Amino acid sequence: MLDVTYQVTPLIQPLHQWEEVRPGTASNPLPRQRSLPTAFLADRFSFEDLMHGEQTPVADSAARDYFAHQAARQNLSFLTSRPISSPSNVESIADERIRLLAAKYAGQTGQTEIAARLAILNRRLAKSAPLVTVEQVAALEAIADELAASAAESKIRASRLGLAA
Amino acid sequence: MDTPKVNTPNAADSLFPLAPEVAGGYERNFIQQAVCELRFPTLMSLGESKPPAPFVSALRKRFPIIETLNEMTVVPGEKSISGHSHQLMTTKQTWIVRLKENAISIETSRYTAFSEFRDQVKEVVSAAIPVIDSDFFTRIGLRYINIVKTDQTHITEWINPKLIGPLDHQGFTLISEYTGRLAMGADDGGCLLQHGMRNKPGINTPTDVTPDYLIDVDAYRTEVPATSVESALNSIHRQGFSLFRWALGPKAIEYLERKERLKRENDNA
Repeated sequence: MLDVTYQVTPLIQPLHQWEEVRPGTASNPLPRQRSLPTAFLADRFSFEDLMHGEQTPVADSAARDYFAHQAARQNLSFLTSRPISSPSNVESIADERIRLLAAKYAGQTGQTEIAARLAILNRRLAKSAPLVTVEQVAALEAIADELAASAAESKIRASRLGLAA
Repeated sequence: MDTPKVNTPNAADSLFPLAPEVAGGYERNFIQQAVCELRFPTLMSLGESKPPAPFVSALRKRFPIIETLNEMTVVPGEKSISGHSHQLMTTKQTWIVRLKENAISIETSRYTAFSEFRDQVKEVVSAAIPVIDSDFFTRIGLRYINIVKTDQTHITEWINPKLIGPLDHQGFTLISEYTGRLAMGADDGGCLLQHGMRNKPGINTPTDVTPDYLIDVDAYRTEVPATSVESALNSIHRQGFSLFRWALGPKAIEYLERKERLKRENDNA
């Protein structure tokens, strides 16, 4: 939906300032409503916790997705021993995302630009560390084929011996 | 019956009829300040205390003065967010470039022609592209602050009477303030005209002296590929100029065209 509020191109060193009297402008701000994600960040975790802490946020956030993805990768490691991507690259992308999320939820200006960078980083993360790799899909398909073959053999054996399948 | 608004890919270019282009532009202008801001996806590392070296070295010759500024966003009841911006200036400080974590701005208080301003923007953009890690800009805005300095003739000679109805012989006297704001927007851009009377320097109380008039024109486009900056600037400028041109009265246009006309007459002689 089109945002009808005009964002004025800011001057670096303004020689003239227009009086802003409309609600929601700098000199007449609307009362700020704390959204759930902001409360989550402010009340339950410090910024440092998010950056370096051991706690894994469990509320709805992209950080949770990242940590869940890391755990899932460890659980699926039996499928392939190939390293998915350089861990330092993935970590640096994740760090940048968390800093952006903190800025986003703190209401920093330039929300469109923050969202645009998050979209770029999400795309890079999906490419560098996909949640499911091609090799993992192939391994799962091989297991499914093996199960299907076993089921077919079992059916033939049961039929040969006159047993119910 | 209201018909729904349909946005074409270039809807922002069609918000109002454009004025004819002036080849080479006017040699005179009323511009006090001109600024171009290009916003890009936020890159937190640009908010660190040191500016990116490739950017500085690319612009050092033209902008030898460098400052790092602290920027703080204070949200009541919550933690403030701090960062830095990097400001590069010409020796006379008439041109300023500011790089922030989500925007780059080029501003001048000595505007001569759009072609010069556009070339300067292009140079800064070329220096910025390698450090902003983005191949598009989320928003490009171009803004001109004009002060039309009137003489003793009525203000409708200088400003379009349609813009200043209450000042146009309506019986109102000793007016101390008159301002207006007209914003137009489409999905891919828009423009804004802010205007108002401004007392001449040294006059602080309402008088019958014809005031100067401030015309602040701002136009922007969104989601512009880095390769299309120049064409976007051209269309933004054309729209901003058209809005400005519409706001002027005959004397102001004559003032702008005077040198142009003399030049043409000399060329023909």
